[in-house]
Amino acid sequence: MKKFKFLVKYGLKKRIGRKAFVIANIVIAILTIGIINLPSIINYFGDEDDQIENINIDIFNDTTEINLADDLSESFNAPFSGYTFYVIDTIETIDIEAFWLDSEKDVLIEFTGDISSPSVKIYSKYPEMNAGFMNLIELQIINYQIGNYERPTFETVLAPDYEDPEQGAMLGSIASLLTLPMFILITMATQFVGVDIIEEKSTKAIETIIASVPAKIHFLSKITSSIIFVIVQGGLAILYGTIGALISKGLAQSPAINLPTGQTSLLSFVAEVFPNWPLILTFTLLFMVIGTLFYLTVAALFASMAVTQEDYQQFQSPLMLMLLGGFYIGIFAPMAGGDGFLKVMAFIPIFTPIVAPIALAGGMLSTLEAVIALLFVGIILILSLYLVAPVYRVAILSYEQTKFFKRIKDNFKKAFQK
Amino acid sequence: MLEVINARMLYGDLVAVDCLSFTIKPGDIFGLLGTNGAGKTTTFRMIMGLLEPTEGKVLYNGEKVGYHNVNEIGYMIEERSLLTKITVKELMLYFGQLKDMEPSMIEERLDYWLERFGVPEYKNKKIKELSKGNQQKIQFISAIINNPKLLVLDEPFSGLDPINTELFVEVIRDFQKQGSMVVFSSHQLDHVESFCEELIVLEKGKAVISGRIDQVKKDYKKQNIKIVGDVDPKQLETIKGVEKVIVNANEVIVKIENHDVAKDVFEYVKTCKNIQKYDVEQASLSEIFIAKVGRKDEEV
Repeated sequence: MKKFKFLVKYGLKKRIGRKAFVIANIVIAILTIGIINLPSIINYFGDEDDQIENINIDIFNDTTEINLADDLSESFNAPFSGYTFYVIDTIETIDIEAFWLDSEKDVLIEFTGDISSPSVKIYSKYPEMNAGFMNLIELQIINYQIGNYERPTFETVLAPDYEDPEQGAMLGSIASLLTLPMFILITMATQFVGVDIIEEKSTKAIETIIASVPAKIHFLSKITSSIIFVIVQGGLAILYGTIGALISKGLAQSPAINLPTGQTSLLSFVAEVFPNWPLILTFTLLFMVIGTLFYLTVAALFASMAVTQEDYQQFQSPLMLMLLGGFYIGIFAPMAGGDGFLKVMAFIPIFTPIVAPIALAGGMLSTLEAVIALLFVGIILILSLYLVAPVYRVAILSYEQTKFFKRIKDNFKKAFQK
Repeated sequence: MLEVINARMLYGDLVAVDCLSFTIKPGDIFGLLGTNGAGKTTTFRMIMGLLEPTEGKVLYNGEKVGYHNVNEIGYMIEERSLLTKITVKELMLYFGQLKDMEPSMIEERLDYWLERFGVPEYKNKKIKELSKGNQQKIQFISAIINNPKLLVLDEPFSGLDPINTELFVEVIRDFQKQGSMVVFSSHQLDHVESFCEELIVLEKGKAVISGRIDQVKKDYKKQNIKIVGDVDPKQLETIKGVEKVIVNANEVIVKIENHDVAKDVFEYVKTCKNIQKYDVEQASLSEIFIAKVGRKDEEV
């Protein structure tokens, strides 16, 4: 146990003390903070032509306040001067169907009841702006209220054929948010464990090491230090995310950044779209830890069978391709609408760590199915640990330079021949 | 005490070591010789517990060699087995702590050995920056840093110049004096001859020569006679029991079947003129090795 602890500590120190770790973290921090603040960044640097210049608003006023339309026109236009111009028209009758069909009209607001506590119905072709409208209307109504404040009753109505333009990109964004860090972390850990083992093996130092510590302990210590590294790195990624969210909050309050009303950052958008995000995050972390362990086990096996660095790079390429495959499936399948395909892939252990969290977030996988996928990959991991440990013991001291599959066959044969 | 008892090691159908037995007592220096692929490294790996003998056993102080007693053993493998990207100090701390040593103790001993090997300035240098010979010193220090009671050295002198070889020999003798057991292999048979008391010569996994060196030489009947003077090689060849006559620049070497032949050769030499030297010697270890292993052209 003492030697195991020492080896884990040594492995961690070696990884975290490297320049590569610092550089990788600077890149990850910049990427994370950048992605979270992407809407703000786009808005800051974006072309003003992209912004909506005229919003045509029809007001149907069934209250006793005759100045309502004029007052609203003033208050609507005041805070957004220079950005968006609101054209306010008063209409006498409501024809909802005609409104939806009229491309010149953007929003229709219907006021009924008493002006001190009116009912407000908003028919909007830009639902993302509804929150802003409601705030402004509420402020205006306060002016008409003497004495008691009472919030107006709001109702918002979307066009029957309305399609959220962000809905399609949403899953893609989530997919990127989930898969990219996982892909980077698993790749880094897999590389580390493999390079670490092959460095000791190719220099023959492994013989001195295995003479002092059992091969099984050596194998488990390499896996453990790598998974701790992943957890530390994952923790740092969450820290960068938090910093990004704080920056995003600050930027949202800045007058220089004109974010669409109600949308402050990608994170708040994600939280709005996925109210069950704590569950998704928990599962993502579990899939990441168990999935990384599985990848590390396979990488350690390949590294133990390799003799030189070149050998290992060759051996690990199928593993990297699988990982890359999982990454692409995770990114593109949700956007391409391949729900069934994504669900099937979520149960294939080699793809599970990356694909399953996306499938869960996208609703293709139920919580129960996610638990089953997790258990399945967990069982495969335990089996592979049992299978790989004896092979590792044989392979780590073997310097045979036969072909890849023959080497695998021979090592398995030697490991289980008794 | 280290006991190798009827150890046999099979790799599939290949017999790497066959019925090998020997014992090393505290204070013994034991040589393990053989051609490439004779089974020396497999034997060392069995001693270190890295390989489990297919048959037979290896006992260290009556117990099977395992990770419970490995901290008392020092092991130096034939090839360079150093992590070249780290410094000497980092390497020693790594290997030493794997032997359950405290870092302060490792550093203390490292300073002593670096000083003794005349390379104290290399402590914080990366291994890859060192010359081949100095890397060999570091590897040797890594094997002895735990002050082992059993020292297993696979080709410790390869790549060393005569001065450093002497330094290694001195250190090994010090370990012998303090009661450690030393088992080593070497291609330099003159070292083995001057250095160890007992040996085994392996050929295709089998012991073809074993025992104390003086006894091995005694048992090997053939002898050499070195003569300096005006002798006729052709006349010498006619003497019964003379196997070969080699004429060198300054001397003539007569290889004889056994000691009795020396008398007949002496009788002839007495008749010759200007004789300055007549010396009967036992065959060298190298000759015995070549004769037993029978591959003169191959590297030992």
